Amino acid sequence: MKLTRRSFIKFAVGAVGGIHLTPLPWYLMDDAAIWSQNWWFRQVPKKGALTSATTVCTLCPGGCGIEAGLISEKRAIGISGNTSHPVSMGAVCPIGASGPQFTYGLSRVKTPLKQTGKRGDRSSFKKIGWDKAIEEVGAKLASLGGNGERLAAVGGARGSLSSELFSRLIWALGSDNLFRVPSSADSEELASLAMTGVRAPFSYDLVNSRYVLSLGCGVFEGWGSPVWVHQTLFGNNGETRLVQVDSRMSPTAAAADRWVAVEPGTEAVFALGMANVIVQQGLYDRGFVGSASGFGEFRRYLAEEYPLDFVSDLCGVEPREIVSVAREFAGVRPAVALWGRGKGSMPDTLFSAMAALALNGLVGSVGARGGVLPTPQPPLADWPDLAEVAPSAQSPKSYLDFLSSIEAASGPEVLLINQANPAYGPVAPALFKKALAKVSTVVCIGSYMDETALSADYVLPADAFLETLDGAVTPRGMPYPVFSLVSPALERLYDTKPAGEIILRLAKAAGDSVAGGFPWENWEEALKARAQGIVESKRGAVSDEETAFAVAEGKGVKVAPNFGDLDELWGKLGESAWFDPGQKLAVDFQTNSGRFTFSAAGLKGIGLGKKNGFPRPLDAPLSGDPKKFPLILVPVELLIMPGESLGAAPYLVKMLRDDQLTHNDVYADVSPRTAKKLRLKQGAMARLATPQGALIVRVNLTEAARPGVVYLPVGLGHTAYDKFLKNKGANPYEVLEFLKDKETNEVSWWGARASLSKV
Amino acid sequence: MSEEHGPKSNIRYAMVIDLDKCTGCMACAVACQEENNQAFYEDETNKNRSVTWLKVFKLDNQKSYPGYEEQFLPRPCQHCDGGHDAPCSSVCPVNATKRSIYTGIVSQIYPRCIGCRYCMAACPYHARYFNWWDPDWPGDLEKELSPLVSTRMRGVVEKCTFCNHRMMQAKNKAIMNGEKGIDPDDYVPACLEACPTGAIVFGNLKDPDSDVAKLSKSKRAFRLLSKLPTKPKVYYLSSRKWVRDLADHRR
Repeated sequence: MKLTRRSFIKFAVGAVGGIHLTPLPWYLMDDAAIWSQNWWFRQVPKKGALTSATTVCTLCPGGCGIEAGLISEKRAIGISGNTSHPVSMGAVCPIGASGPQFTYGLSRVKTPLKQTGKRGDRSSFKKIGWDKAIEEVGAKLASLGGNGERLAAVGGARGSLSSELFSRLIWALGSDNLFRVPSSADSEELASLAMTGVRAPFSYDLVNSRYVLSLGCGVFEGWGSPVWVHQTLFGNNGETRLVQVDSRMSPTAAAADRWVAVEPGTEAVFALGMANVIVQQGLYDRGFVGSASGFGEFRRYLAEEYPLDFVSDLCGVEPREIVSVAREFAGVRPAVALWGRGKGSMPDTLFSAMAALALNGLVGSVGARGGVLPTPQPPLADWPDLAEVAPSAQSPKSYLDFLSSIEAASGPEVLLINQANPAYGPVAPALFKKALAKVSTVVCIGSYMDETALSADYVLPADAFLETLDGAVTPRGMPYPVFSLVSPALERLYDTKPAGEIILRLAKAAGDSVAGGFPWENWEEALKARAQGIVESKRGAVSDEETAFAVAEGKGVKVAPNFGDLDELWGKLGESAWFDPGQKLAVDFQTNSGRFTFSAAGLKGIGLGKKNGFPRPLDAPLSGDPKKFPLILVPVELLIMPGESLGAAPYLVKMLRDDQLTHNDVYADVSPRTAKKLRLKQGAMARLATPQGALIVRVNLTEAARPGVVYLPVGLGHTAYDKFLKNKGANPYEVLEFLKDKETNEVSWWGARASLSKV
Repeated sequence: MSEEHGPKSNIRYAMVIDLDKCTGCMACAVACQEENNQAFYEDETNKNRSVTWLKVFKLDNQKSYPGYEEQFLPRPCQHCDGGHDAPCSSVCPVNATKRSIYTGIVSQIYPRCIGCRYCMAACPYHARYFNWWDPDWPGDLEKELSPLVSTRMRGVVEKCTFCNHRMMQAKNKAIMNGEKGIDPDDYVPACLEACPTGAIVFGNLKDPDSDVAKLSKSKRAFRLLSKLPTKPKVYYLSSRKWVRDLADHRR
């Protein structure tokens, strides 16, 4: 064949076509892929020995024991549960699982900072050394000369010893302007004080409950100690019946055995409606009620104020359903009623907490197996008495009144904030921000550049998750005393210190009279001094896997101390928690009568309880003209959005569905019936207005929502933090109504009147 | 290759997820993200782009309030056991994904993937994810990367591997201890480890004493898209008929 150009091209095309009919190109592609798979352009995280360190999660008050998976003991690559810890028993919640992102997140404050320009201007924060920071803030505290009015403080979560140390600092400085972040535990404490004589929030012996009535609690959405609650309620092989009383089909209602749909905010009234049925049908526990006091008056109160038709109307529930649940509740023993909306920390009225406790009393579930009891504390040694007079912490000051008073007149000179973010929430952030302007010096102890840190004059950065040293006492809702050592699993990343250490140094720098009340060299010594109490009590034991699981299975477990002295206890606390599961559930009633009491009269001793009997629900609960604001806005706490105003990690924000957040728009859940009346389609932008303000949201139409109610998730709408969270969504705390319980001065909030209109 | 086409194996790893115990808490999903170095973006709005190996779906019965019901369904890779290979691995041109004849796990070799996305087209469960962008761990977030799981770059497909790397670690441990088989307690996927209700169970389907073998035969058991010949190795349990019906798009 003559080789012409044409024949060459024909041959070449034929060859290429032919090759493609063979496996050759495909095998070459395959080989090339394999050949290049180990080349240099692969990013390989640094290898190292895989070890683990046990500690306790600090991302919520749940107090779960965790194991951090570490590489070369230097960096954390994952979090799992500590199988020997009695709270978590080897599991975690999504927040704990995302923990390393809280340690390594972009919003960590890396050194002490001083604001040298305008407050709120991030760029004019200047680094200062610890010594200088402590000296300057200490000097300001000393200059207050013990005048308590010149100082105010907002503290963080209950249950941590660093928070307790913070309270102590404020009292030592002579001030009673200490505001702990309000929670339902505040009114629970007072309800317990009134009815049992023991001042503590509610705990529940859930392992042994066979009927659990949740009065609007987010049982599987972060309530109490979330992992423990999940483990316990699903650990009974389906023997426990869970009934959710809630206005919406929440994840808890979805997992429950029965859902009772009620008007939002009426859960406590529903409880008393049930109580009335139980009393009238004679279904109450005669033994327990017979040995209680105030029943006669309580019975009359129920009959007069909570007849079936009235409760049915208010709650929006058929009378027969109220009777049905009442009969079920009284018919299954042990039964228990849970209180605490959302994650159990939405603060509410004394009335509501007492309603729940009274319902439990009627069926004999107070201080009994499977019932409710005042949260028992571990036998830690007391803090030494303060030389200065501690204030009347008995009668709580109203946080709202306090903020309003600052706004109206002049403020305290120094405002100290410890591991809280009041400029974001949960109570009246708008009011807080206004009040800030009147304060001369704002000092923030925390780990993140959040809204409050951004508005501060000094930011004293605390060690974060996995770095910090602290003590954690009995988590919310647990029925036996627990003490966990939060020990560092990692060396700290930045120039930070444990919050407890920072507070201690401030105390020592605030003048001799204050320093005298803080005699320890360092924070670890202070923690050990308190742990000594456990050694001396000769009770309980540090848990192991077998014991933790046996307790979780409801087996009556008696433990004896497995430590001889403090060193031994301290060493063991590095592996698991101390607890005393054998501690009796029975309550030693400390009321005047020495008996369980169905009234608030016992609070007179602390200047409360103006009425003799049972408190009433708040009058005119929500302000605003129902014609102008025909809907009710209810904030919803999601398990994946951390509480305590802590900003969510990137993995958590990622978990939000596209009917919860798209781009920077949060979705408010609304019933399709309501949306139709308002001519709002799925995804439409809307103006959500309340008498307190307005937010722009998108609407998500769902039959999970009760008609007439708008649900907005909590935890978005941050204006600080970093690109993964900042400016996403809206903050319901800006528009909710914060009510004051006239009985107790405590803050209460659960919603607001609202309107939705097209934008 | 499945059993019919290759040597017989005593091991077929499978998972059973009890939906009646699932509260949609997302601990499994987040633990999976953390364990497997999954990428996260500033804007995760587009769920067709969001990398979620274990995705938690929210199902509902489409009734009106208050007859409305919901249930959550975590969906990992189903590690299909049908045919001579799983649908995804049967179409991969470079053998980046293959079902193991020894364990039944459909694994993925990220550096080998050329990003043709044929496997994504083949997977009826949409359980595979493509890296449309280069994953970025800004600042110190890079420190949370696990060296046990290959990181991926832009242009590569990834999916749930039943924490295959954990199986390799368990194997190493067994070899070092001179043992023949791995201790089941040493091989536990991250999702199961995190789950606070024990909804997720994992093990060898061919072991008649294992929980997965027993639960897979439960009256409440069903699989997704069972009318397809995929033979997924993830079984679900639900006492609600409307949930079971949804698995095959029946309403």
